[in-house]
Amino acid sequence: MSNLFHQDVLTALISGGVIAGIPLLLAACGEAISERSGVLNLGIEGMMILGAYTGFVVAYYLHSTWLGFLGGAGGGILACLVMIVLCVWLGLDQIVVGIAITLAGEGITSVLQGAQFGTTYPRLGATPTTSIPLLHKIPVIGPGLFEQNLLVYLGILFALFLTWFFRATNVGLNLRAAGEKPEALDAAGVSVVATRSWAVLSTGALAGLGGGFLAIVGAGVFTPFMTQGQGYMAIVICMLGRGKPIWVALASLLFGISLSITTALQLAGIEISTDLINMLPFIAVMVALVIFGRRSYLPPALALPYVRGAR
Amino acid sequence: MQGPKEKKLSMPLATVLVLALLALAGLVAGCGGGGSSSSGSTEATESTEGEAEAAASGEEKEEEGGGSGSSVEKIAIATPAKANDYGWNEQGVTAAEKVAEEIGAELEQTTDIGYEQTETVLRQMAEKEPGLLIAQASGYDTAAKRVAEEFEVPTVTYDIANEVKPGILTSIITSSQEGAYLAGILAAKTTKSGKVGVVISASDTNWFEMTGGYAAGVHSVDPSMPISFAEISAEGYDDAAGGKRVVTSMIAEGADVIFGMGDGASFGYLQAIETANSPNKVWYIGDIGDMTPIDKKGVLLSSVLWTFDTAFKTFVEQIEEGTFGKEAYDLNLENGGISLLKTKHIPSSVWSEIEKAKKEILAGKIEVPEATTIGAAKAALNE
Repeated sequence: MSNLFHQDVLTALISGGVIAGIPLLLAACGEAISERSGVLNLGIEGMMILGAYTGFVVAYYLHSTWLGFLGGAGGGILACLVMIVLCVWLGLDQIVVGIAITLAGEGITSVLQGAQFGTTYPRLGATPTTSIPLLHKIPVIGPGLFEQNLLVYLGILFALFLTWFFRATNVGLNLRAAGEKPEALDAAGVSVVATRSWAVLSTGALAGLGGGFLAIVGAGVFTPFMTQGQGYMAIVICMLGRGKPIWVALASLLFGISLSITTALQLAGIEISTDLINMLPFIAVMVALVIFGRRSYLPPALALPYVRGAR
Repeated sequence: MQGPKEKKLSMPLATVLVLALLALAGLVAGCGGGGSSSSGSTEATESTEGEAEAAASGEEKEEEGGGSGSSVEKIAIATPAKANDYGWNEQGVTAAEKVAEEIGAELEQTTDIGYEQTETVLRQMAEKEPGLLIAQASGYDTAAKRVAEEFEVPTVTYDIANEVKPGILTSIITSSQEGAYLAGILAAKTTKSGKVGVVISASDTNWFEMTGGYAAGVHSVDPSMPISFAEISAEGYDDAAGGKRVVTSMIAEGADVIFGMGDGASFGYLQAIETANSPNKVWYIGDIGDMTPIDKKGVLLSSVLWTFDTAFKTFVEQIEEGTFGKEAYDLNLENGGISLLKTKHIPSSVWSEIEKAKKEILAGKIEVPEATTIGAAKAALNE
């Protein structure tokens, strides 16, 4: 029978769930920023895969996890510049451009990976972790939750920061106004275009960072199409979390932990259909949607380009 | 305050920009990794425009006898992913290259076409009238069958043994469970922890069969040996992060020999094994291809190899003899289509036992179970 309740196994499962949730958390927080400002960013999958590629390349050649994360953010920023120019500045259709960015991101990274690592598939090895004093010594959950890569803690702290940022800062309020009543923001003397541009730029950086984390920590290798639709999942989680960073973070981590539970159920040899087990993360998200979805909220100006004077 | 002057952009320019972006996306996605592709997305467009022409060429073929009895001057192969995956796609293309070279035929390889434009790409390839068209994915079966019938080009599909058609369509089926059985013996003989594992990245019939064969092989050595099993997700073929996550948990649970099946996810398995924090050395047994060139840390114990050379060569011979498409081709231990990779990490005594088991399978003394469903595979694991 399974050793499922052995401390090492539980630690691995918890740790795996957290690591699986962080790329989603970062990308979904990015999507929240974008949507709050009125830009529906469907290109987040492409930004993630570009971030995964650039992050992996930088980490591999410079032998630095942190420079790799920066590289990942840079890759996401590069991809989102297209969205800024075409959607925010020129007012083109956000859905079409978002899908195009995703397709291009997947294709470009596939070509580059094939040319660069197509016969070697280098792996990065283990990444450094940071132990939270005392907490990491708690049996079972300690090592799983409090002995992680530093970016895990920073990601969770960022979700808290973002909550405060949206509520209590002028920039945050401006950003929300760009999605709620952009004409009011414009009338108040704040550039809607500039506000949305910065918002989308942040989204790109966060999505790229999430992709970088996925490649560097999550997999330790870059393979084409490795994001596996996580960008779209981030969009769903953002909407499910009503664009509120705390909810977004919780939903992301719930999804990651659910993935680990599917592994645990299989390793335990529990006689449930594997198909059903693999549906668990999605069922968890759907149940949460049923419970909280009625209060879901989207900014009125979401996906609408801002044109001064237009009615 | 600056107003959004850019909004006054004329619509034609806006349309051009969107179209340009979409064209770039399509172009790049279409040739993603297809460095070896000689018929990229550009020609795929021509293919859809030239259906009348295609029908005409099909008629011409009919007059010539549908390709049967003619020598093969050109082989075409289409693969869903790039041919550098140390797995399914690479094995297919490598075999096609080998056979083409052997018979002096031209080879057209169109790689990394995914599953969305299959019929368009296969039509385009069939229009060029290859002597043999290989649709290297069971996911191409429906489209490949349709194209083969329309253009009457001898076409190879997978796993549809009951749909072969003389002169037109054949199919490769596999007895990969036989190789997995040998891998199971190897795993059971190698483990120090007394527990082995098997991981698949997706719900795939071939992988269920190999899981069942592996379980039977393990239990032939030790009927009580526990086997950890996990599937990443229904379609996690390229989920390297998922592969690493699942295998890390499996190793923590005590498995120290892991048989892993799964395209891009395999690199995640390798990463988990290479960075494992385990009291025992953890070994990896791969599938389909040989990952030795990228095994820098010496964790690759073996691999259940799928080799298509003989199958493709047989098809060429069948076309020349006019017997193509009369029956499906079974990739198995007997014809060398399935084999177990011998590495330096396998002790000779263990290899001798594997050889002995192989002979017994070939002699019919050992009957390897064929688990075609996840339920049957799990039943084999728990036997």
